[in-house]
This record gives sequence, structure tokens and C-alpha cells, in this order.
Amino acid sequence: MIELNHVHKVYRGDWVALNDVSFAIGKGEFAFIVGPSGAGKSTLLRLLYIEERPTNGTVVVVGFDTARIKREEIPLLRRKLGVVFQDVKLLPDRNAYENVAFALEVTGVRRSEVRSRALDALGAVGMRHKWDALPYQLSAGEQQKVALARAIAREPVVLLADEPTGNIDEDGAREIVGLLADINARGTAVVMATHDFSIVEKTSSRVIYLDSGEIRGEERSVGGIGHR
Amino acid sequence: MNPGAGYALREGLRLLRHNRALSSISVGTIAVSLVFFGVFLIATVHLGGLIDWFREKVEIRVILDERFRADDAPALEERILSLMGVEQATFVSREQALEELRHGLGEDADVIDILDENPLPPSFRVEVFDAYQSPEHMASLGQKLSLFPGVVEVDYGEPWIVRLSRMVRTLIIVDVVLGIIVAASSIFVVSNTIRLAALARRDVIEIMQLVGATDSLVRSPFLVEGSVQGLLGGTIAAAVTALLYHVTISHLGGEPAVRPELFVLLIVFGTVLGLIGSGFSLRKIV
Ligand SMILES: Nc1ncnc2c1ncn2[C@@H]1O[C@H](COP(=O)(O)OP(=O)(O)O)[C@@H](O)[C@H]1O
Ligand SMILES: [Mg+2]
Repeated sequence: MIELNHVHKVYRGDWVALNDVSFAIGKGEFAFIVGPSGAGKSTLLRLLYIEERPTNGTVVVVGFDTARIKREEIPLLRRKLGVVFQDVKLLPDRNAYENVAFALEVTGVRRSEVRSRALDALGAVGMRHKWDALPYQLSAGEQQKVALARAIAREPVVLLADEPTGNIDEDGAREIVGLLADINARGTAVVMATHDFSIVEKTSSRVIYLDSGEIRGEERSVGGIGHR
Repeated sequence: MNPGAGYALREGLRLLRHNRALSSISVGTIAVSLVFFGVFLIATVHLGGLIDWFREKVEIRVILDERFRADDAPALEERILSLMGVEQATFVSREQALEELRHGLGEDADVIDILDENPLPPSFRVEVFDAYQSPEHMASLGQKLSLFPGVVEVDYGEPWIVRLSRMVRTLIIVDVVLGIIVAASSIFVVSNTIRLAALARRDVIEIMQLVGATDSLVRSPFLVEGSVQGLLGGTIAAAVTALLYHVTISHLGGEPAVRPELFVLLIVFGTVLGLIGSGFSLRKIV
């Protein structure tokens, strides 16, 4: 599903953001990438949706090798992914429904299907009742749920979440992580990056620790932060 | 209709409405530049037409000595006809010349009766085949004719034609230069308008790319916006130019020589410039 082999990412000639990173994430898996700010988490995710290319090493995502993928193929890859961010990136002049429907309309989903799929996605994150609210009328947590609905409306194979709880209070954050778990339970692999160690303290999911661009440890079992 | 095309059109027209103020600057610039271009094109067409008109009348007037006798005319005619490119040579006696003048003056012919004697010299009218009407050949013909006995002067409309064709040639160069300036300025203005429109909608572009919209779909509304600006500018220019032309023709009289295709050309030109301008601005953004 996702495979990184000895990936290096160097910015502006000399800043090493990722140093020899290798790991694989399987179909339907849930993985946290945890590390302090500046560790390279966002860079890692950007490599996965090919916003960036690795300086060295190979990245393979849902069958596309990023070293060989052509520019015209990137949209095809992204249609198999869902991505959410700390700043939710909702379009401010469109309501919740329109934001979700837009993503479907511009990726070739038939008009007759857009409506039901957008409403289903909003339902899956518990936001169907607020379908006509504009982003500014929603709380940060609710905005993130709409963004999640947009990301899953195409039923992606992998969902990438970069600090999705960054702007949200503790309860809201727990709710978002719960939704990610629900989405994962329906078969979508989820990769969530966060600097918030408390979120992963009690998780039973896989946790990859990243610091200064290097993998510092990994955990798969139930329990706290465990080994380093 | 292709759903992508529907999206492009809908969003493109929405952009145009949203950026009314900026768009009208684009449209205005294109319209004004194309009016200038159109006016020069029309001037070129008309001058070119004038040349053809002159060219049809190309004839050389060989003025003869007053004492030239009509008996010698056939011999000279033969020599003239032997020159390359000469189609016909007609002797015009002094009397015939006076008669022609009288005819040409019409009602004012009375003035001729005031004259004691006929002031007109005998002459030959020499017509030249179309293919031999180049300025160079006309000059060499004139040179040869002037050497024949009894010839006083060789008179041909050539300098006029030469001057005219030089003017037309200059005008065509002006047209090309003007066309380039019009194209460059229109592309410049449209690309700036579209760049601003695209920057204002960076969030939409970012989302589209993120969810997997193709680059061409991301660009399409902006290409529509730019083309429509060009189309509007071109249409306004065509209408204004056609109106100016109509007014000028009806004031000065004369035959309209310009075909309607010229105005269609202005519209097409404007649209293409709009398209190129918007495509240009998007290269750096999408
Ligand atoms: N586009 C960029 N150009 C230069 N340096 C960058 C760029 N993006 C990130 N970096 C640097 O790379 C390092 C990792 O950044 P990032 O991946 O955003 O970390 P994280 O998401 O874990 O906070 C940081 O030191 C950051 O300053
Ligand atoms: Mg980050």
C-alpha cells in the first residue's frame, strides 16, 4: 500500500528533512507518525501524495512509484487518497455540502451520484444535519469533520491526516481520532501525523516515532509510549 | 456535454462576473488595440486595391516632335511593338489629341476654341502586358522608347505606382508591427488579469489539485475567462471598426473593398489572444 525505502529529503540544497526513512504500511492498517514539531512529519506525508519528491530513495503509494509517476498521473493517485490538514482548507464561500460535493464534481464523479455520495460522507462524520452551514458557522472540530467527509467521499484506499487535531480542544480531538478509527474500520488505511504524544498514549495502533528526520522507534502493541 | 466542459464554462463565467472591473480593463484594452489594427488593415486593403486599379491603366505616353508626320507612324509603331512586353501601340495625331481633350472636358470644351492653334503634340499610346508592368521593366522600356527618332518625351504613370506600392509595402510592415504590439499588449493585460483571478482563487486551485482534479480541469475556468475577454474585446472592436468604415465610406463615397471576413478575423484574433494570455499566466500557477 505504502512503502518507503531509504528515503532522503533535502530542502534547498543542504537542509535534511528526512534521513534514510524506511517503512511500509499495509492495506487497511492504521498508523500514527509521532514526533516533535520540525521532525519531518509533514514532509513525509507530502511525499505520499506527491506534493514533494524524495531526493533519494523510493516511495511507492497505492501502486504508483513516485520516482516514475508522470505529472498527468498524479491526479489519478490522489483520487485514491484522502488528505486532511490542521488548517482544514474548506472553501469559505461554500457550505458543508458544497465543499464535499465540489471534490466529487471536479474528479469526474457523475452528477447523479454526487449528491448521495456527498450526503453519505457527511453522515459518516455526523455532519449531515449541518449540510448547509458555511465554514465560519462551524466550530473548529466541526470544520475538521466536514474536511474529513470531503476526504472520504471518494472512498479512498488511504487517508492521510496531518495534525488533524492541531486546532481542536481535547474532546474534539478525541472525536476526530474516533472518526479516523471508524473510517479505518471500514477498510481505509489511515496515516495520521501528530506532535501530540498524549493522543497515542492509549492507542492500540501502530506508532512510528520520528525525530530530526529519522525514525527513532516503532510500536505496535497496546499500551503507552513504551520503548524508544 | 462533457461534464468537464460544463464545469469550465460555469466556473469561467462565474469568474468573469466576479472580476467584472478587472475583466473590463482587459476587454477594453483588447478592443482599443484591435480597432487600431482593424483600421490599418482596412487602409492597407484599400491602398492595395488602388494599386490594382492603377495597374490596369498602365500605359506609356510617348510624346513626339511637333513636326512628326503621320506617314511615319506605321514604321515607328512597328519598332515600338517589337519591344518586349508591348501589347499595343496606338498613334494619336495632334487633331485626335485635341478631339480627345474636347471630349474629356465635356461642357467646358468651349475654352479650346479660344486657342489659335492646337498646342497638343502627336503621341503614341503604348500599352504593356500585365506581366511586364514591374517598375524595373517599365523603366527600361521608357529608356528604349526615348531613343527612337522623333521621340521628345516618354511619360508613364510609373513613379506613382512605385510610390503607391512602396506605401502599401510600408503599410503592410506597419500592420505586422502593429499586430505584434496588439498581440503582446493584449496577452500581457489578459495574463495579468487572469493571474490575479487565479491568485485570488489559490484555495480552490489547491483543493482541486489535492483531491485529484486534472491540471486541464483546474486551468479550464481561467482559460474560459481569458477567451471570453478576448471574444468580447474582439467583438467590440469588430463592431466599432465596421461602423467607422461604414461612416467613412458613405462620407467619402467609393466602393467598399473590405470583405466581412476582416471583421470576423478581428473577433477570432481577440479570442485567440485571450486564450494565449490566460494560458501564459497559468503556466506559473497551475
Ligand atoms: N518547503 C520547505 N523548504 C525548506 N525547508 C522546509 C520546507 N518544508 C519543511 N522544511 C523544514 O524541514 C523540516 C521538517 O519540516 P516538517 O516536515 O514540516 O516537520 P513537521 O511536520 O514534523 O513539523 C523543518 O525543519 C522545516 O523547517
Ligand atoms: Mg507538520
